[in-house]
Amino acid sequence: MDNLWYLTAAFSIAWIIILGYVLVLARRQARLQESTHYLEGLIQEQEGR
Amino acid sequence: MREYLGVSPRLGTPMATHEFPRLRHGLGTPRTFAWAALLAMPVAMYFALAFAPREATMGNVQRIFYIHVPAAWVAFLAFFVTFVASGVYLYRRQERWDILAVSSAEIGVLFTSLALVLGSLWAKPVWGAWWTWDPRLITTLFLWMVYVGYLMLRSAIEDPTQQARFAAVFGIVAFVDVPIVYFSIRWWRTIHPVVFTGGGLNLDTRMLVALLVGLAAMTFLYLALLSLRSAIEAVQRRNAVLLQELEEREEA
Repeated sequence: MDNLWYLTAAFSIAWIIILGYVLVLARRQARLQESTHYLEGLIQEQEGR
Repeated sequence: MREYLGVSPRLGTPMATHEFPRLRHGLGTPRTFAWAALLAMPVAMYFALAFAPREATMGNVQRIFYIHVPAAWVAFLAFFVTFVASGVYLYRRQERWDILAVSSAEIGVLFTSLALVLGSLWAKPVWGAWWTWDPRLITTLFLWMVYVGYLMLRSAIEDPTQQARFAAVFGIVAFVDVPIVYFSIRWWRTIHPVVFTGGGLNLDTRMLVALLVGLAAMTFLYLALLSLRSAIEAVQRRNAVLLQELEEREEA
């Protein structure tokens, strides 16, 4: 099979781009989870007063 | 995500309780589409790399086509969703349409980038150059720049209502470039291959099957990313509103 290494590289680059975006979304989700915990803490603090 | 989305009902605001569940039901859960994409992608890879016959002139490099065309299709679909969602937002002024528009535009930019990179990787061994100033390539690059501009415009406007309104107008106008990209290979002299001709598809049957499987798999991936991205955007906005409310209550 000719140019197989080149084809593999091309498909790998495509998957790296897609997985990179999935990782970006995962990081955003983790940050949101932190901010939700922070907000829950604030609400509990205000309700406790 | 499910655990996160189900977090404390006390955090609900009129926006969160009203908008978010409807958005979720409208798009399906991220998990359903993620599973569909995870199952469809290996099948698409098998069809692209093993099932489809080796092209006589270009050899194995031609197989890039089975991921390049689906990436371009998803980019068009994503920008179409942004176009429709923007129009509905301007008509109804419901935040969930703005959430859908921005989420789809971001994914559209990702898939346009993918189509450009894969096109360039295909062009080097076939045309002998990574890039050429061909009408299809120029209009696609312009499309990418327009939607990057859309995302930049959004981040430049602070007032959420104004941001959504301006972005909706931009999202409608920007879509004009999508048919220009599609028809560029018919309107102007080009060296870009023409697959979808007026007389039908210019493809071998097995190549067509591999392409259709790739299109389906990439569409599932788009839906998975869109539902996840929309969910994140909705919670992000809900948290921003809540934080503001809590700060105001603290000051009072």
